[in-house]
Amino acid sequence: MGDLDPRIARLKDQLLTAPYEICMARAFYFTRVYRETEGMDPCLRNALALECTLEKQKIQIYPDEYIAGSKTERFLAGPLSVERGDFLRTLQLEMEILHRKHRPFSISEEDKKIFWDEILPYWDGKTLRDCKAREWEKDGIINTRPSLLGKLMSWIKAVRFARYIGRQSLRKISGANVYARLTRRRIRLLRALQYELARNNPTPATFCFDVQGHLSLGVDKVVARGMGAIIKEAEERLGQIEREEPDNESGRNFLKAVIISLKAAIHYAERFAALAEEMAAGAKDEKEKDRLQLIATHCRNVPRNAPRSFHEALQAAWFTLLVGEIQYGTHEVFAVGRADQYLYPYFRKDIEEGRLTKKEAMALLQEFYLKLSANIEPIPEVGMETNATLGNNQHCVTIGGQTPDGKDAANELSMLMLEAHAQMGGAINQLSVRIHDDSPEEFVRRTAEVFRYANGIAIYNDEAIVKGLDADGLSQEDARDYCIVGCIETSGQSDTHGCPGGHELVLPAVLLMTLTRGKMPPPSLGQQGGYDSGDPQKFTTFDQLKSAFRKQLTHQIKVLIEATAGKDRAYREILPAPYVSALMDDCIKNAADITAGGARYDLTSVDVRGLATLVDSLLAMKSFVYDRKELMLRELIGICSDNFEGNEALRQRIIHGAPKYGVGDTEGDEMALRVLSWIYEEASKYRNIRGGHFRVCYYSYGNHVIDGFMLGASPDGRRQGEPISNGVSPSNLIGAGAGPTGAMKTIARFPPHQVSSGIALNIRFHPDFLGSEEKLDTFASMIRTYFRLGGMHLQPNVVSTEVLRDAQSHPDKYRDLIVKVSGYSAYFTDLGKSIQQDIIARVEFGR
Amino acid sequence: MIVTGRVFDISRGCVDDGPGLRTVVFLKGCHLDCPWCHNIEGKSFRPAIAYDINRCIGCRRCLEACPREWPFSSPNAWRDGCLACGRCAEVCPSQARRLVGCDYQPEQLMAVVINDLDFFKGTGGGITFSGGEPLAQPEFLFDIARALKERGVHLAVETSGFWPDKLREKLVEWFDLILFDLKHVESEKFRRVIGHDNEIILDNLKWLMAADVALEVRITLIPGFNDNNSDLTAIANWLTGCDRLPPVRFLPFHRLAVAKQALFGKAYPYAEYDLSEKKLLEAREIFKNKGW
Ligand code: SF4
Ligand code: SF4
Repeated sequence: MGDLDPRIARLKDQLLTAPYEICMARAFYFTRVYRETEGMDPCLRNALALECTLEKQKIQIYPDEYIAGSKTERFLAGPLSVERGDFLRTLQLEMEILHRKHRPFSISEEDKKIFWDEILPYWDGKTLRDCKAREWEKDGIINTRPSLLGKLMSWIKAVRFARYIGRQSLRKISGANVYARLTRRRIRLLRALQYELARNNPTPATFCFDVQGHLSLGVDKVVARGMGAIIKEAEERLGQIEREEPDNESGRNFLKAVIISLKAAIHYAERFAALAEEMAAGAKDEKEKDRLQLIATHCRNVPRNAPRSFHEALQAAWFTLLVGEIQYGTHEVFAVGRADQYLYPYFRKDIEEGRLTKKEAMALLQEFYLKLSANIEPIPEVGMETNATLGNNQHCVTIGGQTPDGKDAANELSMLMLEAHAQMGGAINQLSVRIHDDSPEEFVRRTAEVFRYANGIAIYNDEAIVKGLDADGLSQEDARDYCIVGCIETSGQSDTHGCPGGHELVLPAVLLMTLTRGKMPPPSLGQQGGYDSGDPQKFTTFDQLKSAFRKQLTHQIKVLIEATAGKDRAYREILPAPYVSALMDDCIKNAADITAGGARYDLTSVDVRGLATLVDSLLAMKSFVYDRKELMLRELIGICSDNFEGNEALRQRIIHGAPKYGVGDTEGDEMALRVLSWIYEEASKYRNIRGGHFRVCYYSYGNHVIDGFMLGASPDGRRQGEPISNGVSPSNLIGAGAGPTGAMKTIARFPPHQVSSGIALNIRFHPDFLGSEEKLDTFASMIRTYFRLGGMHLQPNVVSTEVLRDAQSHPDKYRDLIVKVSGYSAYFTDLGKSIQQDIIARVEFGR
Repeated sequence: MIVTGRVFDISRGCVDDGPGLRTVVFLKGCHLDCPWCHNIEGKSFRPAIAYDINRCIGCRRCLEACPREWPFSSPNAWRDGCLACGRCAEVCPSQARRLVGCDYQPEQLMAVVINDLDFFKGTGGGITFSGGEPLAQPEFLFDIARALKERGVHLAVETSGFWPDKLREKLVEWFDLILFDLKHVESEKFRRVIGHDNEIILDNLKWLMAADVALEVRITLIPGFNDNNSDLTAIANWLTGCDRLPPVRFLPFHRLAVAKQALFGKAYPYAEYDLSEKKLLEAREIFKNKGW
């Protein structure tokens, strides 16, 4: 495989050791433009704010770079998407403690002042989050303006909530905040933020975050045609509207915004060209001069025109993405799409004409991967326990699979992209590998082989996914051209506004509500509680329990979907995304932003967590209460609410003696399939505000650990505060007895249309599992067998428990150790302690 | 009458005992007594109780369920005179106590191991019988093998070769692959350390090499027993004198048994030794020079 190019090694090292900063530039320019454009069309406001930022934000070209462009004015900094508001609140709270975090963030005094004096006052009450909360308030989803009595009650509620989750979890979720000094400003702030939890969690079982994004940004289009061609298209459409639809003001404004945004992106590249020319003029070293001139040449041409070389194509791809990131600010999670397909013509031409060697191509790909990882987000303290900071915006790259007409799509570049990943020891961006029944053996085996060198790859089964997308309404060609976005979510390439992230349902919480007539977990300030789905004392049969659970589930999904509608309206009204829409199929044709339903396909997902914990709990109740009649349901509920205190023997017997999910056991499988179909049936009853339908996704990034903090013990033997199960993976409570195949057999039975938005199956293997050539073949054919049985997704982590433990105690030795969390990849040492523990607790196969 | 087989473990998703993904069935009991055997629970034909103190929650149900009075003179005193009736394991909520050595009828075992059939077929894997010495329970072994062959499962057996020659024909009839654990070729040394004659073993191996069956010779490098230059040269020489040169795989001596000592209250005499990468490389080198 050869050694890593020293230039790439330096770039990688720089990324892994760079300090974390916060850059205020974007927030500053956005605030300025929004302040000046009050009352203007929201598309235009957004485009003008982007234009101003791209014009004014300081730019730099860093040493060793051959692909120019970074997101902020600093090397590695989080920009603030003030208009979105999601992190604004936490940041306000945490401004004082930034330096105390596990990896400290720095912010200059001057920036801090701008933040407090100019930015915050303007946005108060105007952010997307505020607008979302107002919508919810209007719809009666939350109540953050209680009456006097309500206010009194709210304190009782707060105490109940704190008592329920317990001191330990409380400390974990509040982290460094616990130690922050209580100044007067802080107390005022805390009072103002009292209701923040409710503004994300309408009920204790649901999350509806402020994010949209999570889509495949039309990088392929820019690489194929250049933005100039898209501007022309928009101008023609604008002319047509002006002639034929004089009343279509919003369409006109949208198209104008598209044109402003794209022109601003081109101008941004030209600024880099000018800077490179200027630096080249001053450069003493010839090599350095060449490097800068090359960058200048590229930035003069792309993204305006179609690229002229592989290198230029990568520069175009990076600019496209970069401007998207800046437009969106944070949490955009834009996918790069099928890079091995759209880059391939440039690659082949350059290789054939002798202008590029494979080695050079590999180094460029690696630099591109590093760029994709070079983003950080100031995560609130609660997230620190479970999230990574670096590379938190997962830019998924998809390779392999089929062409739109059903032929095998893997090519030489796909192979090289795998090798680039392996040689670098992985990079944080998600390399998503598509495999279909006729994928060449060599490609599958090479994919398997990468795990010897690096984690971070997820593998997808075309047959199952295409079936699912077909049910979602994609044409056959578009379905076959799918790519992965976010963590593991399926999407058409540059044609789907899929909203797969941020609408989350915590199944074990739904169950606990069912068992407590909706009382537990207790709602906190402003939230609604559960629904009274009947008195568990009266559930004399398992069927009665089941139907009560379904009632609770129906209610929770309904609330979640209503909340989604409020959020979507807020987006449509105040925060459209004209730059993103410009690159999305059919938005120009429809003269409508993605937030107004302009995209060719429009969907929304319900993201479900804790499947195994729920199914194991149902199985435990069925077995112990109804089949063996060992105790009454009432008793079991009491034992759970006492956190199995004094009943360890029962807890152990449940863990070892009740049927389980994910071991290939028929009863467990049937129960899981039933749950899957209930959720699907419920979700598919609804339409989003743009007319798109709801589909279901099963992944949990790191939030299954936070859910654990918030939830009392569950009937499967999980204690209070312990994580719930991740993705569709079996519970960490079960042992290795069923082998890696147990879970695969269960999950291969999931009907693709019921999980069409994606599933995450994590399985951890000891490196010995891949220890020889024959074992590698076995690994590859094991994956193929799982797929032939119907499995949709697999993300192996090949790392031993000893290494993970060692990395916990010597983080500096393992800075580049990558693991899959549940869906996304992260640097292990960049993760919070609780999620590290969760990964270690996962069953390890193949020792 | 249905013959039952005594099994002490079943392990799914294995990749070390034959091709592809495999389920390994460990049959209990062996007539040899190798002091280094890492499956210390597999040597005796009698069932035994494994007790894992780390899982024990101290509920004392085992004690109440036991038909005997427990002496408490030492932590393992209860083992003396234990009937291995399994009552304690039955009531133990946390599986801290397990009965090791359960009797299966062929179809019962079949129901358990056939689960991964799709994966056997897809990966070129199958089922490996190991032990203990699987051929120490020949009737059961051949019964279950016949049933599995009917389902098209690839079958391997891992054996020490210490069994009567009348089993040979059936062995090659039902098994696709023989993993032959060769310990030593020198009779004197073998007898001294293991206490048996190795004539039968070598005879069986010779016969198998002449027979039409896939065979792999596995040599576990045992510190001080067979890992010296002279020992390995002797083994290589003996093998080169046979009808064919079988593939040989060296297995590093590993210390899995160390963790098991506590479970079974037995001391493991080789607990102090560790695997040595160097020895492995040396062994491979010796065999390479002999034509492998
Ligand atoms: S196996 Fe039977 S005799 Fe032995 S300790 Fe357990 S209950 Fe007592
Ligand atoms: S029954 Fe099991 S858990 Fe209870 S004391 Fe005995 S060994 Fe320990």
